[in-house]
Amino acid sequence: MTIFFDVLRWVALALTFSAVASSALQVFRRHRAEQQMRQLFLSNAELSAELRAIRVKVEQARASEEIDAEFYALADAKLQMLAEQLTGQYRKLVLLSLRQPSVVGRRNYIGKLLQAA
Amino acid sequence: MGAKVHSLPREWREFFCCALMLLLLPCLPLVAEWLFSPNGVDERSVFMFISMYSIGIGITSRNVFYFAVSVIVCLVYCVAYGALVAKSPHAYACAGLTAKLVIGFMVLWHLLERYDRHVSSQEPFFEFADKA
Repeated sequence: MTIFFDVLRWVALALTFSAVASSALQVFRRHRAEQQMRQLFLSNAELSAELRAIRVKVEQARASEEIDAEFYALADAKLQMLAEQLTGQYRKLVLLSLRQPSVVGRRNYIGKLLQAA
Repeated sequence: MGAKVHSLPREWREFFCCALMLLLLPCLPLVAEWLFSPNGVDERSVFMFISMYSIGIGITSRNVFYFAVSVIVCLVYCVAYGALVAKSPHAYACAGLTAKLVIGFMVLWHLLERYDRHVSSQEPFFEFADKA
């Protein structure tokens, strides 16, 4: 009986520790993915200039929801195109955030990436 | 006059709000027991707390692996709780340092997951409090 509870104890410890390791890895990978995204901004001057122009227009049009939404949609399309150029896990992570179910979250994330442009 | 009041960035506010609501508030029953019971916190309460805390965290997770881990940890501590109620001394193997480490790992894993969601992905915690 003691062995049974010892096994349960080690199962609980091993699983929770692996969840910690996995989530830490996820945070690290996303950080790397966003670094790669910034590198793409730097290497693609034309797209970067377009995104910067969109960012300026988004900032100017904050009061008008309609115009704001229009520019966010434009930025979304361009950022998705850029994210497709990332590799493997990194592409998945950036695309997941760009396509997250929350509309507010998607817009916030696009805003964050535009800040980096 | 008219000076801008600086506060935490929105994404960090979402993150701390989430940590308070999902990670700290569920600990209140244990804190209350620790405050009001002369014998401190009973191991049965700790086991029950871990099983409920684990499943509560797992349900709010978006990751299937974390959900599976939380269900297994919940089952492990449900079994340990049952054994302790039946006065089996073997169940104490899951208590003490092990229980503290399991709670610590759960908090850490969920904090990292929430950091990824609310700070990195900019996902709002209270969807209804923000407009699309």
